[in-house]
Amino acid sequence: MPEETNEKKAVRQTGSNTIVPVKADELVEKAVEMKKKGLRLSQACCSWVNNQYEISYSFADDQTLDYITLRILAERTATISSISEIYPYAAFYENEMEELFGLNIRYIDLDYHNRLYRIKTKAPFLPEDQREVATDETKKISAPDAPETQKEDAN
Amino acid sequence: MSRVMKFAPVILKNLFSKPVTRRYPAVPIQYPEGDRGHIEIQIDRCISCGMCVRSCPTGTLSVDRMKGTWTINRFDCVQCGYCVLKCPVKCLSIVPGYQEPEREKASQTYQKSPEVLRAEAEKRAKQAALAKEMAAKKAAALKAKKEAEAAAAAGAAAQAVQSADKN
Amino acid sequence: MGKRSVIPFGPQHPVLPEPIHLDLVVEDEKIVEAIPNIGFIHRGLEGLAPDRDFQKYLYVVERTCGICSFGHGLGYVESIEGIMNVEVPERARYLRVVWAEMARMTSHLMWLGFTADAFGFESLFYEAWRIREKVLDLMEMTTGGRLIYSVLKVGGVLKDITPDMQKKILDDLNEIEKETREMTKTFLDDYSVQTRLKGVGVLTKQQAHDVGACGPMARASGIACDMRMRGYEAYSDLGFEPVVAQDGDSYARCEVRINEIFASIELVRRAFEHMPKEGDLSATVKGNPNGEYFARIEQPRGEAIFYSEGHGKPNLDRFRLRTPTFANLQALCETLKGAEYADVPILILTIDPCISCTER
Repeated sequence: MPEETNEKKAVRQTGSNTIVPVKADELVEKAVEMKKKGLRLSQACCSWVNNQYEISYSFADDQTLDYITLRILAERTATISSISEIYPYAAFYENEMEELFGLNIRYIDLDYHNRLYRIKTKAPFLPEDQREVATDETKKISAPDAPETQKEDAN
Repeated sequence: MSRVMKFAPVILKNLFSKPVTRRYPAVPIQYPEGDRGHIEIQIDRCISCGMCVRSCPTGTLSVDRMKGTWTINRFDCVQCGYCVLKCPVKCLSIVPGYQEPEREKASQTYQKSPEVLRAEAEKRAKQAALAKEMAAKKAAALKAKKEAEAAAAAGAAAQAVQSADKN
Repeated sequence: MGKRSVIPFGPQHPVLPEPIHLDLVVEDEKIVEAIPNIGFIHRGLEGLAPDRDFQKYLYVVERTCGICSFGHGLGYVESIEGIMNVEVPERARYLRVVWAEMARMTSHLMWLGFTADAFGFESLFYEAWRIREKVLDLMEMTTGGRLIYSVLKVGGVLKDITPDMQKKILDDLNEIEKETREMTKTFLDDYSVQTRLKGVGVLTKQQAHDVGACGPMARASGIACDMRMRGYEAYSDLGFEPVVAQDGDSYARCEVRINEIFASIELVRRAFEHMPKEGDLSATVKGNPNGEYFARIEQPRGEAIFYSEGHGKPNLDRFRLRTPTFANLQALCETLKGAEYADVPILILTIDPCISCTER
């Protein structure tokens, strides 16, 4: 997918709005680059279009008001590495992507193990025939009582 | 002490002025003109096209063309006003006055008057008869065309045979 | 190392406007860590986008939250207009600014009432909400609804503000400004308010940047970032400057939001001056959205991001709404570290939580 800009709308507003395609294994390196430039992670989302995931990580520059989105295309069974070691607050967005879309993300810092929203159906935003596809590292679901968070080391 | 009691003048003023709340329901509410309260319909102008049913975001409307009814579940309506925008004959309007609380959810059905229903039935019957007549005419025209073609083909074949005989 | 225990906070608590659960790891009355737990009000509204056509879906997005309702509608409409390259007429852009700023005023006045109620200052709660009623009456007169306005459409607005309404709005705003200045002056100068708010929950500029805070939370720590500086709608013509404070504690956050009320009143006045006297209210929109666009607007609580993706059908394929409180929750957990247990309600309210937006 070529680089896309929205020229007409951007003429009246300051700050560019670009989408940059990136491969899944380049994600962590690009995130380090963004952090060194001083950008803040603004949002991360994914969608299921044309039988593949379209994952977007968006970074905002607070001085120039630019907006850069990294776009990753991934298969249903792909595994993405989390950037929560670099940007700690990315954990929330990645937990949500995992729960709503069944996307397999590893090494999340604060992992809710699919119990962020506690939805009964697995991966509710995917079409029904895609929900039961097994992924590379099957994640275990914790016991029904408490979410498995980092509070075990309370001693 | 003056550091702590900065809010005292405001409190004293509130103590000695009359309340700002309205004593509802003893004093009725005055709604401003464009207030969005509930949906009303002029049922005899409705053409039962179903545009409002398709446009409702919550799915609370339903229409029965044969019986001439329009049903709304007032407790599911969110007063957005999109059906009013989409109606082609503008028989819907959104008027002030909120839905009163009730013990259970209920739908409200509006029925077209018998005269209008009769007029609609007559119109439908007339249209059906016209359609039938047109279809019959078309079928007759098609038949005539086929016969003419067959006759022309027969004539051309006879001519061909004649010229072959000559030569 | 002292004994650690975990105290659950919420989801039912007198001070919380909406349910959220925090697990507070406490050591000797001081909080060491806070782990948020959300999901009580998740309705899956983003999943309804493929089921409704894009014009009908506006009414669903508006009803994500009662307080930030106009902002959500505005952002959604902007993202669709960005995909379809629709040029909104000038008068409609100014009208949108007027309604957005008045919605911001109602939100900040409501927040002020909640914060005062959190530390027991009920008189201020009533004063703030009494002033808020006047603004709500103005909104009802112009749009037909007090909280949910339903006055937007893709390409423009549905209703107009007549010259009579404009005069009433400007007269009432003068009154409202006078009363608000009196009330907030006494609030900010009061000694007991200052002891409860000054120095509590400090977030330095570097911390605010590292934790991804946005909106008044970041502006109170010195980061001058406001999406209205991007100049969407008519903000580029109105000479807008963001309101910033330097201290980063709860008092600074109160100051920022209170000063934003006055800035909004000024913006409404300027918008009425610059607005063209008559003009179209909306542009015609034909066809279906085909493409994608990220729209960013400034809600009362911070930066909200609206992402729409469509492929030529009347229904969108994906709609994503990232609300400011989703980003500020991490900032909340950062301010809670090292705080006293009695300060927790105030700290939660200084981020201006809108949990129904967070988990649409």
